[in-house]
Amino acid sequence: MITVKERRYEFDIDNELKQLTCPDDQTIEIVAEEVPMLSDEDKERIFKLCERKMDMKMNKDNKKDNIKRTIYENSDSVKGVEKYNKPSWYRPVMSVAASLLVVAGIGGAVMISRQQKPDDIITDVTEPSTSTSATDVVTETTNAPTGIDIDTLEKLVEDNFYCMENIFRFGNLPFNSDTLYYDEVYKVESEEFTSFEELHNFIFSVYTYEIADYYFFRYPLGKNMYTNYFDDDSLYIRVDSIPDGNILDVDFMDFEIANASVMDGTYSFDVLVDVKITDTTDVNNSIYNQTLEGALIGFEAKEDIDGNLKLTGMYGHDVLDRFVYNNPVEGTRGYIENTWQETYTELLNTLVSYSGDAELELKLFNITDKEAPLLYVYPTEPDNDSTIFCIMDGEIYNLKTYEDMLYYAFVTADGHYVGYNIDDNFLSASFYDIDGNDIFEMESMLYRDNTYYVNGEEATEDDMFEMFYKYGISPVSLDFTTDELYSYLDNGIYNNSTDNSENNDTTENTVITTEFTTEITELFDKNLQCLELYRTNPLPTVTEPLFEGEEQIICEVSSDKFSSYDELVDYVNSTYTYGTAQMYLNDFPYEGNQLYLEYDGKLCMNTYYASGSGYFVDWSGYSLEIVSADDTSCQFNVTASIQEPGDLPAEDYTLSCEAVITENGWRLVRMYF
Amino acid sequence: MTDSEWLALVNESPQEGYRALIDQYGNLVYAIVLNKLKCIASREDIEDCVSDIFVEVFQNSQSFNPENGSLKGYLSTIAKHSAIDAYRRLTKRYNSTASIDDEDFIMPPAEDNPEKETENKLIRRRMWDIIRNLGEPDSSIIIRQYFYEQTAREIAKALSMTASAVQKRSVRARQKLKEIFENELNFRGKGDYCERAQI
Repeated sequence: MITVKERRYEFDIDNELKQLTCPDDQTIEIVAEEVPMLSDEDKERIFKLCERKMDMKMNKDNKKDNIKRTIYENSDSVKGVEKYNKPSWYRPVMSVAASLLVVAGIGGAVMISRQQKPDDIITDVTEPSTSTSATDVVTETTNAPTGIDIDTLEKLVEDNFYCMENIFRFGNLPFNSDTLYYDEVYKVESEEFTSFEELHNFIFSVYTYEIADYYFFRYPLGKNMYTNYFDDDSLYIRVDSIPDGNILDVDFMDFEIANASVMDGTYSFDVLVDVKITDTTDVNNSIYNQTLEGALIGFEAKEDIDGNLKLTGMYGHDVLDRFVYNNPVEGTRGYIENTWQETYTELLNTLVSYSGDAELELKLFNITDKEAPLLYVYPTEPDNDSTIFCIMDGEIYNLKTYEDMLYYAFVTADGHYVGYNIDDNFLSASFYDIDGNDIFEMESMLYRDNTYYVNGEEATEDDMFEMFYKYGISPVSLDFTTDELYSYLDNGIYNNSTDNSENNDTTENTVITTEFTTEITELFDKNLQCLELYRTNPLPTVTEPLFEGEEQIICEVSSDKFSSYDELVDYVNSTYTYGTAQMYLNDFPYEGNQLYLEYDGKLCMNTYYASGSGYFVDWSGYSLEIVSADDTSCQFNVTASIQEPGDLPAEDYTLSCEAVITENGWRLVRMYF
Repeated sequence: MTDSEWLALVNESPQEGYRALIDQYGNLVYAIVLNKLKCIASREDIEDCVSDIFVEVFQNSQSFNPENGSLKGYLSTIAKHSAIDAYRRLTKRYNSTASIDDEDFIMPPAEDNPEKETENKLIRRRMWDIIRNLGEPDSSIIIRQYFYEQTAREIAKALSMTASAVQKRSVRARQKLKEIFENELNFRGKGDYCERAQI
């Protein structure tokens, strides 16, 4: 039993690091080898210095000097080193710790540098420009109204790109990392914005009130990224809102405005911009380091009550997404934000264009409710080999070899990882434990011709699922034609192409009764309860914890909603399919962590992870409509109401949902919210 | 390159031999010197001391015998002693200590308290283990920032990253280190480090 510590040591990490020295010779050797300090230029400089000194020594050969040599054999006495006269240009400077890491934005200048303003700006479009130079401002439409101030539009575009690169989204204002206050904020040190009010005024001058309000007060985590923390009008940045080091950095460069028009007070225009993409982890050799020329971004602006034109959105953030989707280069990774279904759909579009007339052979492996399956494709291009795509932790990997699969396809929270082997039409998985540099096979399982094998011996389905659950993978794999995969990615329905017509007939003949609708509605009500439990409104707890440890503050639940942990488990299991239920019960919010658990026989919560996130959907009075249903699955739509902050009107909010039949009845395939 | 190969190279072409020695052991010698002088010396002072060490070895290269020990050991010993001498010299120059006794000058105060010195050493060793276990590039960033005292730009250049990415990773790595250390201290208690030393 671990003793609960009543007093926590506070560790001043910055102070300790500033005094960082090696405790012994062995550490010095390791550090020198693993983190070599000297560049080739440094070594050359030292060599030249040595040469100079040796030349000077040689010139003193005939002089009496005071040289004492270190005796290697008797190293217990310390002898002086040879003294020499430093050159007159040498000025020793007291070392100063590099405590101020002021970082300029990747874009460099305050405003995007743009081409010289052309002389022939067209504001009255009665004749199109004949020039195709990038420096010209071209309005291609012949019916654009007069009076559009291109200078104003250009200024808005520049400011928008500046916000994207240096304030929000792709970057942040520079800060002094030595000025950490209460572990919460750093002081911003920017030449452009010296006060909270200055930044506020800038943002609100570029964007409409709703957009400015959102970015300034609720981006990215529902609270303001920049703050006047001590009410002294100085500017601070919240530690937890600093962008998490996007791998790909974006730099908006030369742009031109086209197709400007205005209707009912709304200005619409296109911006063609060159976008420089940089891989921040490899600025020299990454294949992502390139410039996209002429990326097209649609802009919109409106006049406020004072007649000032302001943008109705922060435009351009999807340029990066589109770039990544269109560049699934072999052996590299891409940064993604969307669901795996959307990602694979975009990927499929690219693969179809690459493959020409060749029919694609497609498989999905490891289909679970928890994570993206692996996508096997053959061929990727005409006369090309097969490949496998894998999505993990928000990144897409193109795995070319078996070794790639072993390296990337890891699962489990206990140090094991899973390697997949795709051969013919079956999936086998081998589990490896890493002990230093040794990798040995622990277990293997196989699903072939509807038979399960564990470590080479025939096993039952229960054995298999127990192992699959233990290691977090699924044996389910499906074959697709191109159209079938599009359909599956779009609506989650799998139809074997040979049984297509029969399945359709079954779907059309299903009668949706009132009782069935009620059953599905009750199921969705349980989903809303689980949504509260896990995401929006966790159960209340007793203040005093029963146990505290690393990332654990275990408190007894004080609500009588569930009389025991088992009752909560039953409730979740009765709502969702097995995989989804297990995820929420055992791997939420992170793998290997439980939000609710049993401790000392009581229903408890790990309040370390509890959070009630902002949520703007009003489910009261929602409507449910069953779209289709058969013996195995049911698709239905649920419509509620959503009202975003900022006095925006309420709107309909519709979800497409799916329930499937299991041996225990209807279950939802995931949590809907 | 083995020690014998180096001797042969030096005999054949001294300049190439000296370059090869700096290439192979420059980082080690620099780290040894920096470890001693970092609180008191500028980068120029450190490079000055490093070059002195190599000059010393170059001049005595003919008398070096591989049978008596490795070149690496020989260099390391000279480096440590040279660094101590440089430390004395610089402390006198900058007048940063009050003691007039040379022996006391180089003795860290903790030597009067062996237990505390052992504890500090174990804590520092543990800190290095944890830093190295951060994984790349975080461990390199922390070591370069706090041991080598490089700027974000220098680190970015060395690691082929952007300075912005270096800074963000540094912030996060330090947060992680703080959490790990606080949890260790609260779980083990500082005294545990001394208990381990007694085993």
